[in-house]
Amino acid sequence: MITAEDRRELYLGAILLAMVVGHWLAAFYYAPVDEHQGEVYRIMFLHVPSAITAFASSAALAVFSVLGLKQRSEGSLALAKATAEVGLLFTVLTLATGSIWGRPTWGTWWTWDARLTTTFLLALLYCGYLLLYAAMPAGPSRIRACAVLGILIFADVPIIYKSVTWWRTLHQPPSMLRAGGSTMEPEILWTLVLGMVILCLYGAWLIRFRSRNIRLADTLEAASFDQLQT
Amino acid sequence: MNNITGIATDAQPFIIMAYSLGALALLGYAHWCLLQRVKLRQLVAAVQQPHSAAIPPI
Amino acid sequence: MMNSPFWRHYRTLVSQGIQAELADLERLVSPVLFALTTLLLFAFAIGDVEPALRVHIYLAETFLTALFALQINFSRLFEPDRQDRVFDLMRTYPVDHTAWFLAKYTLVLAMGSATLGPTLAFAAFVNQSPSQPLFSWVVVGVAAMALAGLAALGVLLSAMTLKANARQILYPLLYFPLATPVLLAAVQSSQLYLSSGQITADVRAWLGLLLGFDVIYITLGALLFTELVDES
Repeated sequence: MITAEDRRELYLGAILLAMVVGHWLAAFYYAPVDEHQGEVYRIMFLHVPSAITAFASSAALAVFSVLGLKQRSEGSLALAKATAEVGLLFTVLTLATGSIWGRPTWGTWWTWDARLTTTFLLALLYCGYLLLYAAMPAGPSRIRACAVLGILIFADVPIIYKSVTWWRTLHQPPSMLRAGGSTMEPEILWTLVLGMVILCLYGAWLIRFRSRNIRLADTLEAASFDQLQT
Repeated sequence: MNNITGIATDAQPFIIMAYSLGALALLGYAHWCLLQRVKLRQLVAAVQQPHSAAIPPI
Repeated sequence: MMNSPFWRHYRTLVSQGIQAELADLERLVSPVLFALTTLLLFAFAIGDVEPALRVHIYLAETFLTALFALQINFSRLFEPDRQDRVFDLMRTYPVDHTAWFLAKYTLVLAMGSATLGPTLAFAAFVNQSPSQPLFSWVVVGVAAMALAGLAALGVLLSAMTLKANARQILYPLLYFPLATPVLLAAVQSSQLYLSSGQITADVRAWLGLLLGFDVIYITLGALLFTELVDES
């Protein structure tokens, strides 16, 4: 029952998924062992790209929210809602993989580390966005209210990055973006950067795919309503 | 040489756990969206057919 | 300049808001009672505290209580305007939306101060010990800075959730995560000050973060409120 356009989207998704798998293979076969953490550090190649995608989703949410305020269209709201869902998915994945990585590294499943805690906050904010969307009837008020919240959520993101340098923390100090350059070996660094790019692209594809579903559901509702009228 | 079978046994459970969760999340959400798309296309086609019974929106 | 339409709208809306608040004193009294009750509950739950932890516990429970009590003030801000659809009529009326935001912001600052003052005083009173004075004007100043940012956020969220279902639970679910950076900066800066007795570089850093967020929330609040209520 899917259309040719759907098929094209699915082919693109399959390609991106294959790239994700390829990256994971590189994480195991190409990147060398870490001298401090051993093999368990390889969780980083999933954890960090997930975190980057989660935070990038908040930026995308802000963009779609601004568009929503300017255009007042259901299309931008659908994109924003899909972005919040995908952002929540990657935030939860970040927390879960961070927790799993923390157990052998720090000896504990959870710690009130600044970055983990504020990533947890971001997950709550995404949940709040989805709750607001569900709690309001469809229409201009919902478009505006959700758009405003999307922008507010993005405003919270800088403290997530800033707090890691201001709080006492078990978390790694920034290894990539620091004065004097990265402390990572080049193979690890490039594998990590590749993972960030690929996972962000996959996240973008998920957002587009999901937002089209939301628009289809709106179309269905409108068509059903028209049916009831006739 | 790095290979998955060479991973120290104490690290294996955590790596398997993390990457299994990742696969579940990435594939699971995409799969759910795909199922939803198929169903939506069916429903939209059914509603847009002439003289079809009204189908309640999902 | 003070007779420009902006300031006339602002003065009219502020005086109207104050009259609405004073007409129903329960709206001012109940957040304060809630705060006092919460502080008592904290005291019962935490019990006797080691001297080394006293400052931290005092600040944590004080700012948390303030956050919870202020949430009551903020979430009910537009309730008088819901009656007779005043809010919807105001959106179509040619009132300056920035003046409207500033008026609500002023109102919520006043109401928030009326809640925050007794909360801080009572918290210092019940947690005091002969060896460790807890009341400090610096902490009051930090609380005032925190209120400045929280009030802007409160006005915005209150307007946003006005037409949402289950507002009573939705409002705190949105407000608490967004308010957490303010809470964090307020507690950290106060704790560092009370522990050292002076405004160190670390205290200044946290105050800078608090000030930064005040500026962000007030600016965003004014901009986004006008978008929220714009009828076009």
